[in-house]
Amino acid sequence: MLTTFKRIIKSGWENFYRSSTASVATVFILAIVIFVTSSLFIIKDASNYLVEQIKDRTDVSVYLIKAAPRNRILNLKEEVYNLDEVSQVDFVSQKEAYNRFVEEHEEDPDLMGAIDEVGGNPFLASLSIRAKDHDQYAQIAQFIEESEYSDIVEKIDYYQRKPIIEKIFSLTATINKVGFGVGLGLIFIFLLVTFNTIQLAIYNSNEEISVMKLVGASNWFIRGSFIIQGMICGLAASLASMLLLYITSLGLNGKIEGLLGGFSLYSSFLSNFWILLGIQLLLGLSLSALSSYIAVKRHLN
Amino acid sequence: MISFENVTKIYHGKKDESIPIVAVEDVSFEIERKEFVSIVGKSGSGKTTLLKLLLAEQEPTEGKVFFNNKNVHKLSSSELPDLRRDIGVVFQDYKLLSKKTAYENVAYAMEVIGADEEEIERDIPEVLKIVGLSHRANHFPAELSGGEKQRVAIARALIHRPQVILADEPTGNLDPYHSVDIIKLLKKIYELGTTVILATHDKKVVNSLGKRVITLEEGRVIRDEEKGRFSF
Repeated sequence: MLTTFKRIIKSGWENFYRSSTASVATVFILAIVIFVTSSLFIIKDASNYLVEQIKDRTDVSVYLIKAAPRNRILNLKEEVYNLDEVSQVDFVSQKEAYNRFVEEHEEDPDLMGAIDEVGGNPFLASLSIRAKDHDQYAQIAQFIEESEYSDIVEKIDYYQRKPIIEKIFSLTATINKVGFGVGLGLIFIFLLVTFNTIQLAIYNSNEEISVMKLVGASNWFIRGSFIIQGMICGLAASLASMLLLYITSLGLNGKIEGLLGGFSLYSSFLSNFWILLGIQLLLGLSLSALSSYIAVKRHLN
Repeated sequence: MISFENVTKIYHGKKDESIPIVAVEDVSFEIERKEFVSIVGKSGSGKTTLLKLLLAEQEPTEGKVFFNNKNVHKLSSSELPDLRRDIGVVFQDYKLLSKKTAYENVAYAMEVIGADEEEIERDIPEVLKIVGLSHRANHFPAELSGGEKQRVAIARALIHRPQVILADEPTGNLDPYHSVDIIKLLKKIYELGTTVILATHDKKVVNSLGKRVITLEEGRVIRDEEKGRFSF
């Protein structure tokens, strides 16, 4: 049994390296397909990063009347913070609001001139509130409006921002759905390409298979060597694809970091290294073995 | 040992399945152990079909084919490899595995039956010596001449010490010099005690043997002579 197994492995390996041109072509095609499929994991990481960035930058501001007593403002802040829906509350005083504006617009003489024209500090103190989930802003706004502190609230800018917030989140939800669909589509294409590539490689061995049968080889002996040959192609393609991912993530890291505001492609590759390697090996080995099995079965019949 | 009982094989045309093509019709004969039998006839007379039927590569439309009292077409797919190890086959187009060397082609036939390495290393040089190919053991089929390829095929057929050797037009692709060589080799195998069935349309070869000749014409046996000659 062990001897037969060793012979099947040896025969598969010999088939692989003695049909070097066909093997290289098969490995090349499989590597490209595995590379594209694995890239989805990195793209998913990038997409999650972008969504988190958007969430981090989304908040609502509750503007407070100028005469609002500080202790009531702090009580309101405390009560809002205690809500389950709220993840963060920051108090921005009138002075801070003014300083921020000046800091951001000091290069713009028109805006700075307008501030001077108005005279003094036209800004209101505010509470900047960040919800745990984007669809909780409405509840938070309603809570504040109905609370005992509604009299110190000048306005809540949720209603002006609502359409933009909802648009952004519906866009990210769409991106996630499309990503999932594209992922499924690519996996399906991966299955088809793998199967057809291996079937094509085995198709040329039709004559050889009939000779093997004629000299008394059992179906499993014949099938085994082709399955091993397919698995070697899958293994080589997985490793080649991993190398390609490494080179790509290293080479494009700087550009992607600039484009996606700090997302590191290389770090994402490194943090997903073992998962990617595992998935690639699993896909490469199991699919090529299965494709070989089905392709040889046709010839054996 | 081998028995064909009223065997008929009808193919159906690929273009028009309703047109039957009769390859062999109502063929009956027996072959005993240690016989050298030539099956002769023009191309398309049914020689190769008879060999394929014996190897259970094809099913007869009617009739039965027995090998060692077993109906070969009733064997299960797991029993077929055993039948094919008892019957060594030599083809006109050699049917060698192109990605294996001469040595490996012969070794493959032993590996598939689970022979141990010692046995393989002992028997292959011996059989390659018998067919005169020791010096070409590590060459691939593409690097061998037609005669040498046929010798590898014979070595492979012999390696299991089969009870029967089927040679289907073994000299069909060879020049006269190599043809004589191959026939001498088959005679030597026969003299060592193996039954040989030679399918050929080579008149000179058949007449030089002086052995039993079964003559086919349009799929029917028209002559079966103990010391026959090729005559139409």
